[in-house]
Amino acid sequence: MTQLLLEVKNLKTYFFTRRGVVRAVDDVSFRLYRGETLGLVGESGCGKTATGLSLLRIVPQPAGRIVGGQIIFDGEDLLGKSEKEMRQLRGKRIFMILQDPMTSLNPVFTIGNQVFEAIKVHSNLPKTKVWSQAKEILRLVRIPSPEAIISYYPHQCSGGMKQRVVGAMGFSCKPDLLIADEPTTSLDVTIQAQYLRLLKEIQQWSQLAIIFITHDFGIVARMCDRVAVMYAGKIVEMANVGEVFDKPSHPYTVALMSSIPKVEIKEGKLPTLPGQPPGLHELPPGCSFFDRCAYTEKKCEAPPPLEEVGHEHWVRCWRHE
Amino acid sequence: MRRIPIIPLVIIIFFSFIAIFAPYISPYSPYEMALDDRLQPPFWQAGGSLAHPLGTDALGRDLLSRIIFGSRLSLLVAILALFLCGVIGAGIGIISGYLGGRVDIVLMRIADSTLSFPIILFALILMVAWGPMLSNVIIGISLVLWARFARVIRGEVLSLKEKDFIAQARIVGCSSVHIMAYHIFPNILNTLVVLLTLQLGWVIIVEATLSFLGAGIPPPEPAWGSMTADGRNYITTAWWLTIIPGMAIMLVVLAFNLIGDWLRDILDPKLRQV
Amino acid sequence: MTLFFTSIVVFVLSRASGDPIALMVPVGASIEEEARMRSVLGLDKPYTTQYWLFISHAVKGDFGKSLRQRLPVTTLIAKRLPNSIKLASFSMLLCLIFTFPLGVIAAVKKDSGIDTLAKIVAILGQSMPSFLVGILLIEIFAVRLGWTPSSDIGGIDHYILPGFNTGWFLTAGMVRLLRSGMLEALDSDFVNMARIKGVSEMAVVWKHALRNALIPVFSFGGMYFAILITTSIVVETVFSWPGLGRMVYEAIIGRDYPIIQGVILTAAAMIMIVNLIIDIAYCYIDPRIKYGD
Repeated sequence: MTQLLLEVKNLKTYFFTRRGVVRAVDDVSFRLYRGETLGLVGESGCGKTATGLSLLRIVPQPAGRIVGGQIIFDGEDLLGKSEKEMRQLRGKRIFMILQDPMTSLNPVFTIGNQVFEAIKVHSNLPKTKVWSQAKEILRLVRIPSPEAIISYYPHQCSGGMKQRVVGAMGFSCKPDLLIADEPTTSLDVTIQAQYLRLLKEIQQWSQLAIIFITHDFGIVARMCDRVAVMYAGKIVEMANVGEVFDKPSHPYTVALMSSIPKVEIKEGKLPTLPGQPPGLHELPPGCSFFDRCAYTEKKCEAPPPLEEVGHEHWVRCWRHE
Repeated sequence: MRRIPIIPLVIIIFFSFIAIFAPYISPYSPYEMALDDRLQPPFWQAGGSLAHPLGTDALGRDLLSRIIFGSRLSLLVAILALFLCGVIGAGIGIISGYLGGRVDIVLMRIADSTLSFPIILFALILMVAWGPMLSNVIIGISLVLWARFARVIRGEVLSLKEKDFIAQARIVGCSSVHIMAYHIFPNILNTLVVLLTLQLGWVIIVEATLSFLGAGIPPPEPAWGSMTADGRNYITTAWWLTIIPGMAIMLVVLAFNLIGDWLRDILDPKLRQV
Repeated sequence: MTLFFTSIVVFVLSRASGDPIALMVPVGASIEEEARMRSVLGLDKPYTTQYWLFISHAVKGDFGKSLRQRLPVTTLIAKRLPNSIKLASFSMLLCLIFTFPLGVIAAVKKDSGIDTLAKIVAILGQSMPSFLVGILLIEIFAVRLGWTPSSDIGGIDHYILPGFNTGWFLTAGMVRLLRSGMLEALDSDFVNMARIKGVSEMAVVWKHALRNALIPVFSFGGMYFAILITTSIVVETVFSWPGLGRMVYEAIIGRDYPIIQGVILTAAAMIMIVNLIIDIAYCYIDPRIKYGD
């Protein structure tokens, strides 16, 4: 009984800088169903965050611009909406958690103030009701003694706590879609686990769809139903989680997975992926992975299209024609 | 990397040039009086002539020549005062930052008390006290300005101190003096240069203000500030006597400020707030 | 501590400014007359005694009498200080009125016409010596256009030109600070977060970003205000404004020690008080300091 919540078609978001056009999101398409978690994986700079920002249409201007495609959210194309309409969507139906909790909260306002604002923006309830809602939601994200936290300032809280507060701001209006941009990267491992468990719980009773941006396949294994691997602004492989772990098909995916430290490897070096991703303003003409790929052929000088190679398994590579 | 600001650079080179070669390019001596030609307007106005392109003052002295020679004063004061400031400020900043402890506390206390001293007031007093000599102007300005340099440099040194290569030098056995001179100093040079260029304009304004108030180099030396002050009496009839020296000051200071900003953006953007 | 140090400096300096007797005594006066004047004014005592007298009186608020005008310095200061305060406040007011819209909008609409205007205002304000600005203002608005009077204190129209003169310089510095503070804030994660929550762009700029950008602006403004009051020597001279700055200037020229000492000490004290107030106010504005780490 899964409903299609989000369909992204050929999304293109470019940044126009002095050094050239940066194709951060280059013809990206995917689908997301209610209650489902889609992992968006890749190295830094591959366009994952830009994709998230594009969905909310808060790409930093004037350099960045969505230049093409469609974002169909619950039947409507977000790219056709006015700014006012987008603002009503943001926070209420779509929310995004940014990577660094240390800088996500405004240092000069109290925690309570900021959570209050998140709720008040989308409701007409009187102040007292909003405050009690705020406390409720803080309790929901397992923050001990919300009454005390409300008058704290961000710098008085730990990273884990701050990330929960951001989560509270997000869930306060019961959104349909959450974009989580590496939310646990700067947290301790134990806190990470707690946070992920919390997300999973909330997802279960609220049918929340999550786009989980990460570079960590371990988290992918734990949290995601499906995965999309991004490289240089394009999706190079997309499949169900099981498929990807069983049969990784794109050379990049293979390389990413083999660089995950496995406990069983007792000797030998950790395989690393040589080289760097290309700068997004100077992409090679053919397949963007050309320079680092171990399996290149003559064909690879032309850019490969995204093809379905198995059940709901898409790959962008000539080898799987 | 922003483009080099050409116009300010040209202005600075121009004024430096005329300052250095003043005696050779100036049409007249700045002291030469010609009472028949008093208060002549600049050449583009009626009554002016190319003999005195920028006009003459109340004593018949050629304005162009006085402006040319005035540039010597402004630039000289600025450069020397800043050099002194840089030496004292950087020196104290490095010592204070590196050695820390009581030395730091005492030095910074002294620095702070001079910081809140209004610079013009102080310089005024000094000028009246010690006499209106060039060296006094320079010393006066340096005495007030060094503290700002010292504070910023000290900050840099504090963060440099923690770096590994300093610890390395200590392990190897270098003396404090050696470390301060050979390791710390080259690394604060960036900041120092930016600070110096940023303050150049300010120092020129201070010198001009002092001479405007009558506390600078006494007449008949041509100083842009005192020229402006003198011109005030004739402003309705002979506007050029105030406006032209004033514009000269403004152009030079503007040029230095723009160059300073550009340099700062390249060398040390951290100083944005300074 | 600093006050003490300053007082020594002040004492030494004013004594260093030369011998007032030489200026006050009519030309050709005899040695005895000079000596008599000296003793009347207490200038014949050894320096240490003079310093002791100075300090002991100053602590009680008595700065002695002006050498020239034979009036208590405190009275003179009390007469002129309010004028300086009035001018400084007016300048600050003008400054704030212009700085806020200019600084904020310049940052929001970076590289636009307004941004360029802000940058020009800022750089010109810091490049033109204030006396030049004053002279130009007087010439254009008072003399040529006759819109405002050009000197002295009086009704509000007397405040306008000198107010703009000082105000411009203040604005230049503050606009720069505000603009860069805003640019930094607008680039930050928490501003993005506010947008994600659905907060209106207006609130994002004026509530979230501004509050953060204000902090350095506030300390700059406060610090400058104190300095303004005490030493707008140039502006007061150009506009013949009967304030503290001009009084000190005349005192320096005339080597009137008690006035010089009195004013400088007052100035230093005021600056310190203002700094203290700023430090306290900081605690309220920047919560990171109040509940500090």
